[in-house]
Order: sequence, then structure tokens, then C-alpha cells
Amino acid sequence: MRRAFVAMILLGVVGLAGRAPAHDGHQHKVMGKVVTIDEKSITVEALDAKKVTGMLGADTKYMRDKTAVTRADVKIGERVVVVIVEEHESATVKQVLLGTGASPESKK
Amino acid sequence: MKSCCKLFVALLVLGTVAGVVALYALIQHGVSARDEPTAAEAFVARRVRHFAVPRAGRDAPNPVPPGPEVLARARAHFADHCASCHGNDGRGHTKMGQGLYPKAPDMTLTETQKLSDGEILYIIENGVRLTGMPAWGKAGAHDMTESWELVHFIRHLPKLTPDEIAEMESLNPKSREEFEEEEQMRRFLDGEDMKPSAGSAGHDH
Repeated sequence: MRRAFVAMILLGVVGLAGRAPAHDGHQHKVMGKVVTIDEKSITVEALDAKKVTGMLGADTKYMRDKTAVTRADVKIGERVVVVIVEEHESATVKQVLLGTGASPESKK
Repeated sequence: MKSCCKLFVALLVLGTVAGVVALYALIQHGVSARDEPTAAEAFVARRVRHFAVPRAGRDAPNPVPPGPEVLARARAHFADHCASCHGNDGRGHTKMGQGLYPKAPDMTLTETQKLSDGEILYIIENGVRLTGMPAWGKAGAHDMTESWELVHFIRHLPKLTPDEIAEMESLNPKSREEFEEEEQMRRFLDGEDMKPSAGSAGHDH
């Protein structure tokens, strides 16, 4: 009982001694067409013509329908939905969802 | 008796100091859950949690043998009950998980993976006070098979495949807005022309 009491006080004191600012953790889904893509980042022109850039990483998942694909499968001009997580002032791409319809090249 | 009195006074002083610090912090920060726990707070909380789990529970082995069917059931269970806070991949990158104090942990990391099977089960069944983790177990219930299956799934989280995540996404509970958002994204990806206002399909805070 006494140990639990001391632990609770200790927890309160240590916990309130200092604070670190919270990170955002906001998640955006951007629909648009791929403008550029390389090893580090992808830029998408959203439907409102704004260009949105996110950082790609080893954790970025690429999906066409429900099948996993790779970065090499993402073509310039292709329709994508990019899931971006904003953390610590950086925009990291969590997922790139690719279209299941005809590719931009084949539509021409 | 004398030493007992000294201990009481020491505890009273410690309690008063803690109260003053708490009051100061409350005035400075309010009761916002936006802050991150300090490293010291996280350390102490983990130690307290460790000692709060009874030794017998901590050392309990998982009685459910692992297997693909067990993982499939646990995956569906996790997608339905746990993913709202923890995310399908267990990394806690969700609207609710990031809004909690402390934030939902990245369960693929060592801090969770080094817990014993019994400790993970205890947390699932009993929850953790002063966090967002509820007790999923029913009082007096003896069948904990579903929770033991979840323990296997939590062990599997670091090796989760994109296909498994995609399957889980179809099993996540969805609000009407989320359903409509998914439908909008699907139509866009299928080649349907969309209005510019739909450029950002979703913005989760």
C-alpha cells in the first residue's frame, strides 16, 4: 500500500516536472496526378491545381487495388491518392494508392 | 513509532511538494492531452506498470498455439476493436491514438515487443489506468482465447504485410463520412472526373 502511494506521488512529480511539445500526427489524403517522383519524394497536383509534396521512405506502402506494388510502378501523370502523415513538421507519405483504370499512356 | 512518524511527515512533505508542482503545471498547461509525457514520466510509468502485473500473470505462457487461422481471426479482431487507436499496423498513427495521453505506442518497437506474453494479455484484459487503454476482459470471465490470439497478432505486427493491412482496412469500422470518402477515392482512381473541391479527399485531425 505504502509502495503504491509513493509510486503514485513519484509518478505525479516526475510527470509534471517538464513538458515536450506534442507532434501533429495529422493525416491527409490527397487525390491528384503524379507530377514528379524519385527515391525521396513524390509531388502530386491535386484537383484544385495545388502541388503537394511528401517524403517517401522504406515504410511507404504502394497499393494498386488491394495488391502491393512498388515505387517503380508509379508513373508520371497517373492518378493517385497519397496518404500523408504530418509529424514533427515533416510530411511523410504513408501510402500511395494507384488507379485501377487505364494508365495515362494508354488513354492517349 | 518514531520512525513511523518521520515517514508520515516525509510523505506529507512529498505530497505537498507534488501538489504544488501539480497545481503549477495545471495553471501553466491545463489538462490538455496534447503534450507528450516526459522521458522520466514514461520510464516511471513503465516500471509501475511492470510491477502492477502480478508475477503469475506476467509469467503465464500463451496457451493458444500459433497458426495462420489464429492470426487471421486475431487480425480481424484487431481491425475491429483496436485499430481505431493503434492503427492496423500497430504504430498508433491514428486520429484517436495521437490524441491520447500518453499517445498510443508504436507496438512494433522493442518497448512493447519485449513485454512477456502474459504482460500483454494482462494489459488487454485489464487495461491501463490513466491512459486510453480500456479493459477488454469481462470480470470473472475465464475464457481468454481471443485475447491470447491477439497476443500472437501483436507479436506478428513487425512483420505485417501490405496485403494483410489492406485486408484489415476493409474490416475497420467506418463512419458514414469515411465510407463516402473511400467511395470518392475509388471513383477517382477508377478514372471518374471529380470536382476540384474534392482534391483533398480526407483531412484527419
